[in-house]
Amino acid sequence: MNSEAVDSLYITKFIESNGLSNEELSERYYQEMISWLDKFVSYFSCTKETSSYKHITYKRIYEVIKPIENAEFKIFINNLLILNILDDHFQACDLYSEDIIPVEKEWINHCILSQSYVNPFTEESISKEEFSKMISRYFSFTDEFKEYLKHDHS
Amino acid sequence: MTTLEFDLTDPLEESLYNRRLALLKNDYEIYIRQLYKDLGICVKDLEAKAHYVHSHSEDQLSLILETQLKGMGYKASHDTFHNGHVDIHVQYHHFLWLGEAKIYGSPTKVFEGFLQLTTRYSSSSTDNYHGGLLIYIQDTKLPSIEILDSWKTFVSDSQRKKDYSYEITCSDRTGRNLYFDSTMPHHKSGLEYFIRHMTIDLRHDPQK
Repeated sequence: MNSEAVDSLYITKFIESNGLSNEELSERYYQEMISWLDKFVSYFSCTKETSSYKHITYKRIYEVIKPIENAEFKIFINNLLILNILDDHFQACDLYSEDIIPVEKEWINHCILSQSYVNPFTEESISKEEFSKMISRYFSFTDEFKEYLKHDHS
Repeated sequence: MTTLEFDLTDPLEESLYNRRLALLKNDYEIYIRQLYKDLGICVKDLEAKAHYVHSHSEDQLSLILETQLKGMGYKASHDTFHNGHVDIHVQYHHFLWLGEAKIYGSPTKVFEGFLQLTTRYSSSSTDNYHGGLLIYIQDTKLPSIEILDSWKTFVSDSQRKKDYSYEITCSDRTGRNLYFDSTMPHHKSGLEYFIRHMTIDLRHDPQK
């Protein structure tokens, strides 16, 4: 992996969207976030595999940027979403029948914002813990990021 | 261990999700609701360390809160220049919340923090119209609830409001919460400015 081969578009976006000063940029926390971002973008700029762009799991992201601690990993994924590199998608798995259905993001947003969690199979109210077990999230690359990857950044 | 799945029971996962929704919807209120949940976690954690922080300075205490918020992905700093040196500056992209902190000595001392927050640092712009007044309790025998109630009476006093030219409406404390919220016309724009007044109990005086 050659991170220097990749331009700094997303690093610049990260710095600008967080309004980071030079002093803040030198903090270890932001240096690490930037290095993971660089690692992620560099990896997908160089790799030939395109098959998984529509279904990227937490594990896949972790494999690319590890080692990373849990809290930083969650924050990093959130940064990828805010930077419009990733889009997120949801599906529900019935724990008894093991049926899997896609779930609308707006519906998930409503449940989380209102803190009223509903079983998407039965529409019954359930606890947050049950909801969390039932719902899984995966990611895809945004059109913007796919377009970015098409260009030669070397 | 790193969790490789969506886990809403993790307060950080839920917080990040809500903060991103706040950004997507450009909804400052969603951000503030989440910030207060997260600040509540930090305060609880700080209070649990009372044996260690019971004689820390205002700056040291604010630095601990700042560090905890940073660990949750906020851009938090203390003593940041924002029309003066505000005690706690919490930013998440364009959303901003400012907090002024005082170690409790008397309502008069808390009032200094109140004036600094409301007349020097605060703004009523669409992404910065909530702030906080943090009252660290270290060296007094008074119950927190009494400190909070006497502060509320002090800041709501008619003569004081006239003398210092401000209006304020304080809501009642709810449940077992040791905070109350207030609203007031911002001194520059006249738009509503909201403050959460909270006590943080750091006393450590075991009898055995």
